[in-house]
Amino acid sequence: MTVLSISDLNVRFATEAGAFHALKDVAFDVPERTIVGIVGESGSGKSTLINAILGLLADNGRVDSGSILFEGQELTALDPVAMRALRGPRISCVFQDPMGALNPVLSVGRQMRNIQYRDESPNAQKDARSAEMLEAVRIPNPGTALARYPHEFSGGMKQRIAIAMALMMRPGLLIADEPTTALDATLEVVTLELLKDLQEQIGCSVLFISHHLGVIAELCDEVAVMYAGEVVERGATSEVFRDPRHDYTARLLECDPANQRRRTRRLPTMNDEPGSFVPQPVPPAPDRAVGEKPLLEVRDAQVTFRVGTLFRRESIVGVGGVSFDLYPGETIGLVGESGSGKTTLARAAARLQAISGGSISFEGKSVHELSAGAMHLLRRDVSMMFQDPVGSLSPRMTVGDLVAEPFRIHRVGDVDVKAETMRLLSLVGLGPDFADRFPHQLSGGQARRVGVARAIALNPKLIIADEPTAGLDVSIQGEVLNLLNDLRERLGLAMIFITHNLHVVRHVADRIAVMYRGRFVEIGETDEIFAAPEHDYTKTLLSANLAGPGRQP
Amino acid sequence: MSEAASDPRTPNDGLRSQVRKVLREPLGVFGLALVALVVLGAVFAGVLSQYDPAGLNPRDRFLPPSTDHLLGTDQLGRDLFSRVLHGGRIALYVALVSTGISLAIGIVLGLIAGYGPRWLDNLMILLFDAIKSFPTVMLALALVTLTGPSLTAVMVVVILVNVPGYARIIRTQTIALKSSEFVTAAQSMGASTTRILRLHILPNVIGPLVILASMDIPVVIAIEAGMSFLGLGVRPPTPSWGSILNDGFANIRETPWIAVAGGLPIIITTLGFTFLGETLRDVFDPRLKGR
Repeated sequence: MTVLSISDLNVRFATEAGAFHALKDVAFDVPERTIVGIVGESGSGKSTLINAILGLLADNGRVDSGSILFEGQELTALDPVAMRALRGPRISCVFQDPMGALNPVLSVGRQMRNIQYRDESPNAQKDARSAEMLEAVRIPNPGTALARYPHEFSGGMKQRIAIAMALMMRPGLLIADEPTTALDATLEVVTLELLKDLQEQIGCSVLFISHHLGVIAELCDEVAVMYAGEVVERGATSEVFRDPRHDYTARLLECDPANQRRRTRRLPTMNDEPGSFVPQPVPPAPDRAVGEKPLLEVRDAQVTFRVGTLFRRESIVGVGGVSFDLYPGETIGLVGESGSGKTTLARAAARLQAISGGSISFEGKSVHELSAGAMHLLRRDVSMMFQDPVGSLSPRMTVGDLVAEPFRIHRVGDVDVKAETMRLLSLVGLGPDFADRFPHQLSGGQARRVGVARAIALNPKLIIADEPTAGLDVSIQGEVLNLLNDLRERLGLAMIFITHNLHVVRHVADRIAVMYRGRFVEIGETDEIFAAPEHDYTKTLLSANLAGPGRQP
Repeated sequence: MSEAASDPRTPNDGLRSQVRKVLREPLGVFGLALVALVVLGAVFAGVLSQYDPAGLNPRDRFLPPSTDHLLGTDQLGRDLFSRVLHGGRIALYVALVSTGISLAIGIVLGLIAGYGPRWLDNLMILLFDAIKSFPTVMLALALVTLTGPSLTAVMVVVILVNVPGYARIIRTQTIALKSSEFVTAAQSMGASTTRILRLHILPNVIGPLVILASMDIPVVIAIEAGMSFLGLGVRPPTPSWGSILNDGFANIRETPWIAVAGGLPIIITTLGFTFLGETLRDVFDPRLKGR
């Protein structure tokens, strides 16, 4: 029996520029007790699909034709009251952002009690059931956890609580919209296992939306690939991923850096013909000339944060004594989970964050002891790229002004700023017409290119890149990495590359440092770390980074 | 690129389409028409009425509205239409100049409080709250007792009343943006604090404030009229809507048109600016619509 059956679904949005056809003849089934994955990049219509199923399309959107059959009921014809009765008990949702999904001012127990409002049983019984659900998602001490508030839980726990809430009423269908995207690799694995266990236990079906091919391969029985509002391919996950029939699926699979088993300087992009890609082996690192001075020397660097009130001060260790050298032209990958201190270390290296001990020197000068004027000069040589591609661009400035900003800040007078801006834009693959655009008019990948252009504007010696590929679609990820690799080689840049994605860093970094709780647990050549991880944490991290779908049997 | 190109700008097409959106809203058009009426009346006061607003004419005392005197005359025989038009000059002058000064001071103080060290922020917030805790009328009375009634006193009161609110808005938004990635990015490039405040923070926080200020203009006009009504504002014989209202108030049973002549322009201006401000707010920040 099929739980959800969608056929020939067409959704259009009325916009100022005319009707936008968001879903085109979408058709697929979700059979009983199965997990069906929906894969697609941003803008492919995944979210519109969910909203159409839930009857929550925006005011300007409507279902033009087609049917959504849920447990024999036609959802497109259902009135809002009946639809509301269905949402929650029969169809429930887990969303990407665990913080946003829970109400911050109500205790977890109270929220879970509210979910059972249709039930007439006494509160004690409802609480008992809530505690049972929390136990099922492995929240320690479920009884006392009920009295606590969402902010008292970690991100991973919050997402598990959200799952417990969604499955509380034993729905027939759970819609999970990128539920693990905001979680670290190790937590992702745990959460996925849990979801699978619970699904089997409760016997519901799951519609699992993700852009992460590895996750889909790991979890889903069937998969539907979406592209530009259409389902271009669907079938059993193993078959689709092993032998993709549609061109787009094949490209998508090849673009996933996790699918490149050999280290390569150039990654495939969506423009490459599927199958035509030839990896470019990474040249062996050149031997260091005897006596060559490191560009950046970090010695026992420590960062502590002081928190609390005037009377009760506590210090939290952000970075607890880290040492490494970075030579000119070399790239070091900084790997670790959120909260491990990667970003703090990077900010300390650029003196955006004070250090509480140790030293950081750049070309022999102690960065944290420089005068303001000397520091200003040093900022020409060290540039940073930030996590959020759009958010790191000043929203009211045009791309042209943004790229010219370093020249203006450092009053570089001997170059034609306008010509230089255009040169930089073309270097990162953006046409001159981009100069007049504003950041919100750019896609994530384009905004990232602007960030790269700005970072290399003054010919720096070191680039600190904080998660430069986070939040980008797989296809664009490859392009950005290729761009960075290319520029790095051409300009002889040294780079600190921060990421939690091991598959990405592998193709970029010469050396990898694994960070855990503010310390390096392991540092070494990239190949060595991947081939023979020594530290337990590195091993956990490696196994937690889900393998590429192509590796599935 | 020229120096002008580095100035913060809103998207050109955006601004034009925003204006078009205001013109599409009936309420916005109505508000704009009322404001235009008042502004044109004030600007062309000398052309529209040949009477001297301060000219006494004892023979024509208490004349009801007629074709000669559109709004009638007051107890000293002055033409009320002429006084209303010239009173509009005073009202708009006070409103625009003092709101402009309040904005400038509020923005600077707000940026300092929001971006500066914590202790300075606390100190400034304390100061703002202290000023805000005075009722407007008490503040006005205290000031006039010290300096005597004058237009300057009115403007100082308005500025004192407005600045804390504006500064607080700028401060809150500055704090929110202070740790945003694009500000950190500017720091990492070596941008100076004034550059960060001027180019990266100010253009992003000023929008809501300008809308708020446009909605405050009727409040300022009411303060001026109120103070003049109480005799704390402009000195006679300078015409002010508040003092016309006061003249009419004394003889409201016998000659009601004087109070009408003083009250009507206040109502028209207040409505006009309120409608316009609300439409502007809805257009620039659609999220607030309907609140």
